[in-house]
Amino acid sequence: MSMLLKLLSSIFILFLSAESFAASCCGGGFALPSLITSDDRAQITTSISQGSVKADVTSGGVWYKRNYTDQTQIYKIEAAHIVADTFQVGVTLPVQMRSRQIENSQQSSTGLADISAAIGYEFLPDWNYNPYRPKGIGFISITLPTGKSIYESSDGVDSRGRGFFAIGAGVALTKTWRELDAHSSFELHRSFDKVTSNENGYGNIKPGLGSSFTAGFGYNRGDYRFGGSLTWNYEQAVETEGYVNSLSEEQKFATANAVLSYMANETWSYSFTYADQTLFGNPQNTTLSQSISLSAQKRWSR
Amino acid sequence: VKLIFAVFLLSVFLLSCAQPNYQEPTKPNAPLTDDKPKPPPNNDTTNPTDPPPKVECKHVFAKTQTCLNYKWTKSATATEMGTIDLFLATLEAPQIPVNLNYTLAVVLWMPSMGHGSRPVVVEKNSSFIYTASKIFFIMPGDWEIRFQIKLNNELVDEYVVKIII
Repeated sequence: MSMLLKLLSSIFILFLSAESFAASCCGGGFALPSLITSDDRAQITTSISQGSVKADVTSGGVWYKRNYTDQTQIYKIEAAHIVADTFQVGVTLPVQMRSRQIENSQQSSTGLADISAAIGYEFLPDWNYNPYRPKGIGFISITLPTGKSIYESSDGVDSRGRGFFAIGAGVALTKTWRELDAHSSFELHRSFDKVTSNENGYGNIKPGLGSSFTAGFGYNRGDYRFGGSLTWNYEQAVETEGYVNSLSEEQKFATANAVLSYMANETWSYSFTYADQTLFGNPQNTTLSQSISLSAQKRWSR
Repeated sequence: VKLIFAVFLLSVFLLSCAQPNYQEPTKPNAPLTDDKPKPPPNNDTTNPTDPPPKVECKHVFAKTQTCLNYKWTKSATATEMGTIDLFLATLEAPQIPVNLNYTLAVVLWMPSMGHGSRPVVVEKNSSFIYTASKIFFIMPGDWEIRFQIKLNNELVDEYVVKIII
């Protein structure tokens, strides 16, 4: 029974590690890579999420409620595969539909968001008999600027990604105690300069470092798991040179997730997630969203 | 262990609670200035012996030493496009509209996030008055309206007005 619980929680934790945390105004944030933290050989996760912008927060911490509809749908496929005993590779392919309705006028845009890929290495194997030692996976990830950024967008609606090439590295830790589990991850990334142009002119955009930290827990009962997690995101200021010379402010926000998961059998599991950026943290210079998502995961055991 | 774990998690979550500081945008419909485009002065009525009237220029292009006069003819909000009429004048009183061989441009810029908005259309609709239309801010927050003087598409001078939408 204990082993079954460990298996279930390890699998369900995957749903959390595959979440992306983005300030929805700008398709910002950084997607944690899809990683296998269980003992499976491969996994594919598909998900659909529906989000809505609820507030805008200035760099001084003043909140303004949105008085028009700004919604985002994200369809995502995430795959990961073990390539050696302790190495794995993963890729995330997101497609985003963004729509904004102001009174009777509606705009929408659909296309690829930022693709990310990762290489993971299990540097800390799980020891079931040890009550403290977690399972640890280190990863290096890259993000490709396949989504149009807010810096290139001329109306904001067609912004579907952060739009920078970025390299990140981090670590994810998981641990299970009977019906309880916990997980945590930290990643640091560096986004690289980009020359952009839109109808306003040309500009050289210089982003900086960013990071995220996640802590979460779960309670398992039978085939179900209820979990919660909190992720803090940080992005350094962005410098712009060109048609406007400007240095922006740093960006901070926190995303709370509540997840209900169901394991249908040993190879399929489903999850419902509610994510809210208005509940926690001390957000600055960002938009805050609420979203729900449904995901299904197929696994292949070793 | 369970209790410590639960207390720790609860503490982390509760200490992290957001404290929303909701505010309404300050005067989103108010014009940014009371300045109104003034007609060219009728020099015929000016008595050359009188001292020139003191006219304070509120918005100065520093490099070209010209005065920016503008007025919202239709206020921009988070949901509506706005329109501005503007013209340039001399700094010294009496302010005389100037017709520079430069191009006037208006750029909307969100300084905190480092991005712009939709392009603003600037058209000359009389010998010295320009109209900046399709002014739309793509999201609420702190914005800058950057009035730019350009020559051959190169920025010559700039005056920035801050606004909260």
